[in-house]
Amino acid sequence: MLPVLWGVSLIVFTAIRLVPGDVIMAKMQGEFSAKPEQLERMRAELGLDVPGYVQYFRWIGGVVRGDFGVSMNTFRPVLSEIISRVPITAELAIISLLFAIVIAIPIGVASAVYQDTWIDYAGRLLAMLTLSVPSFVIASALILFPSIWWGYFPPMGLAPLTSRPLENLQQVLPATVALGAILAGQVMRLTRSSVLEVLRSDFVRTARAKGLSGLAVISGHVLRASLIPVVTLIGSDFGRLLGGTVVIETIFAFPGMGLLTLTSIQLRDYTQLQGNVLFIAAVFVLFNLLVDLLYGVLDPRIRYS
Amino acid sequence: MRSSEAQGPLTRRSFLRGMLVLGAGASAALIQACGPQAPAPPAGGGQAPAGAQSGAAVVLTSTPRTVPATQAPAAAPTAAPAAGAAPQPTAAARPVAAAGNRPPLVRQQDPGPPKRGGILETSLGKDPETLEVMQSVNGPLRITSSLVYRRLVQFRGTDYYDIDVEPDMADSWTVAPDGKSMTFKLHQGIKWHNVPPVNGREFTSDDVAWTVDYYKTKSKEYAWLWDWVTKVETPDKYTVVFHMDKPNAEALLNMAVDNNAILPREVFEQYGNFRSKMIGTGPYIWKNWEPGVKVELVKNPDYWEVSELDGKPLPYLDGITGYIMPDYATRLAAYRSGKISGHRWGFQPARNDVEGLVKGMQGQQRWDGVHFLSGGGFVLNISKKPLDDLRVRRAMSLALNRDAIIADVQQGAAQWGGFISASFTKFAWPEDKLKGLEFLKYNPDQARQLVKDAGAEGATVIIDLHPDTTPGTKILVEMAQQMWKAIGLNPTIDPTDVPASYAKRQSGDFMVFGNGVGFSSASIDAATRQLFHSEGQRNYTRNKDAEFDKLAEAQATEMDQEKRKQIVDQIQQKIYDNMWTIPHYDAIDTLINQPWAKNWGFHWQLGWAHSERIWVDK
Repeated sequence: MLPVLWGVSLIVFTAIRLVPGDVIMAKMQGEFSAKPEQLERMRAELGLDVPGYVQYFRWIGGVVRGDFGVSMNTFRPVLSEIISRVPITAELAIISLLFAIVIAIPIGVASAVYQDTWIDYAGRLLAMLTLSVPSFVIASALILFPSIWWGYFPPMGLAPLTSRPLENLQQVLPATVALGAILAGQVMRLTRSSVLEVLRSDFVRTARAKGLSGLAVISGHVLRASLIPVVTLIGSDFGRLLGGTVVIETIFAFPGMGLLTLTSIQLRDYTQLQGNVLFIAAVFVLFNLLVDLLYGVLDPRIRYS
Repeated sequence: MRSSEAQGPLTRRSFLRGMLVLGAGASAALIQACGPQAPAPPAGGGQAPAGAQSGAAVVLTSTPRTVPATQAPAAAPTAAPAAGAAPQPTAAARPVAAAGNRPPLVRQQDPGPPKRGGILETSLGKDPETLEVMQSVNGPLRITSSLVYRRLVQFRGTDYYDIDVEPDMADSWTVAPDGKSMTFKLHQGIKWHNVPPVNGREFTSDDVAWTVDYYKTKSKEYAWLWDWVTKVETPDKYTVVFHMDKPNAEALLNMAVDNNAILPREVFEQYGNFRSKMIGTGPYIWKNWEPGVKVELVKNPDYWEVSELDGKPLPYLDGITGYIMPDYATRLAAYRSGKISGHRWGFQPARNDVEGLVKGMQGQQRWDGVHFLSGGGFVLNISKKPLDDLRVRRAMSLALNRDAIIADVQQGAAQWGGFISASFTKFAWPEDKLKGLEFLKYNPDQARQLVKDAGAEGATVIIDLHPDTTPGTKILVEMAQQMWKAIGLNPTIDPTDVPASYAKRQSGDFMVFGNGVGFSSASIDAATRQLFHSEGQRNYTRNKDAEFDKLAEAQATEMDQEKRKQIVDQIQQKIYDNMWTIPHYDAIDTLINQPWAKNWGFHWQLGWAHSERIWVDK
């Protein structure tokens, strides 16, 4: 994990500095009424007047000590910005994931079990639609049409989940539907093909031959075996969701990690962006590890020595 | 349960057939449902109805071309007031009675009676990012901070284009005959917000002196607002005298700009900056800021102004809340549902969307006009080949079919652009004159010949383009690319983003700016001297013209408005003769308010002039 994170830190540090413009350019935009010496003073205050490698070692040295520095734009600590944003993104990601799983897996199973019936076609059509329609279209529609038809607009901001859960869910529901739709489509299709494959297995035929009911065969034998590829997909997608989904956060004005990362890039907020990317990379690595461990739970044949 | 091998009753072919029928039916229903759009109102020159009309928007249309007699009051003469005199109202204005010892307002107000209480909810296009308005160009920050801070003078706001000022925290001012000093008499009894560490103490002339020193020595971005002042004197608690080496034609304008806040020293002394506290003398107190979510301000119970309508202290509102909505569709939906009362930064709804919004909505207040704070057309770097050849620059201008561009990019909601924004109503050349200029007329044949004469056939011209809040910019640049290609040049578009674009401007590593130039103030000086003077801070064109420099310096110190206008005329002539920029159009934008938002005027300074007099009646 550490070599991966170190590599990521080098890549993000270098990449953002290769892009033209810096935080001074971004902040001042058209207002270049400041004199050149004033601009240099601003750069020096931000530590941009020293060579790149010095900037890197200063930053990475701080990271090792738990100090991610301060945002070059807001001057707030990078870590506190991330910590304030992660719960929002995590909540969106978890609820989207649950939405996708609860909707997609049963439909995928039903679609496979009732292959080539209207149930199957309806499920596949639904999967196709959710995969074809971009999430921002769904999100915009969920915002625009209720305002036009019913004069309804969701409450702004995000009420605390612990103290006002109902209000919180009311606020996040449209966003999670938009976010979860694509994942639901992917899970539906993958579940269907995976279940279809397992249904043809010898052990399933044996289970039926023993006289087990359909539900018992599906729940006791088929599902567990079919879920391995689905777990892989969910695991990798969850990491992506935790990294933040910029479009959804922008449309619904949720101040999550995605919006923070996008703003950091636009404003060339080097320290914030570096911190964000490092955090997202760590989450990805961690989730991949969890998915690998979950394999062993799902399939006893897979064991790690 | 069926096995995987069993065939269902529904075959794939019959399913697809069914979907085809269903899809065709849905498409027909959709086409039927999407009726024709309501026709767009005429661009410019419209009348201002007296009040809300049933089922229609109240349209306030002001353009730089004509000012119909029945429109909202025109701006008063812009000359600095004579010594000892308060600003005089124009004949067209309906003065509002003075309250207390304040001079009368000259702009029109809703006659009331005002309704007290309530929260005005609005949207902001992005997060303020910081509280330091004196170190930032962030639009939402300027909007919200203008509710908290006050200045010595403020914009009158008789209409959108009004850049004349009236008293704010200063009751009156005089200018020395030689123009090298200005004496301000401060309003007495003004208090800072009752928030630690300032704790509601009285505002005095020392605060002004401290503020000027802060801007000159510590504000990296806005030192220019005060660097024309050489010395500040405070002979007593309520008098401030500014001394300067030479007259400054925009001194009052600079003082009224929203970035130019009068600041409390205690905040800086305690925190070393203004990042964590925003304490002013304004009608609203900064209450809460949830980054990325909203900004909340509450009424200042100790505010010093009194309403001329009901004789009670202002403001009328209990507070203002700005919800951060970066997405355009979200802002539209919020407006449509009545969640927000209007929007002042980054909204400018597209014409079709405005028609859709007001269709079925009653009594919307609407303003259409040329947007301030933009202009300049395509900025050219004349140090780069082939743009160093005047013939090529003229050819590029002749190649532009401006009428076609206006029709395609803006659906007709624009007028020909000039060399300074048309929103400078007293200075900019009118559209009729622009259309008569030889090198602004569409003439591709002449353009091709000029390119050939200059030996620039096939020459590469790179157009920088970064994402813009107005989607039309991309279409504009693509059209220009096609038109320049048609005359023999080889134009390419270089997509970039904002910081990269501005880095290139600074370094000179660009040829053509597709996005034009933005401004943060209605300053002729910014639009002329800063942009084109050889030592100008924003001399992106890289031109060095000594004669132009003299003109640019002269307009900056000319206090007589008529003479200044003549100088600016010559400046525009110079820019045209040299084609340092290629104008295209000035867009006509639309601002819109809900009918219950009263006295929320449409003014260029991001729309927050006189926020203490807004009330909500719903």
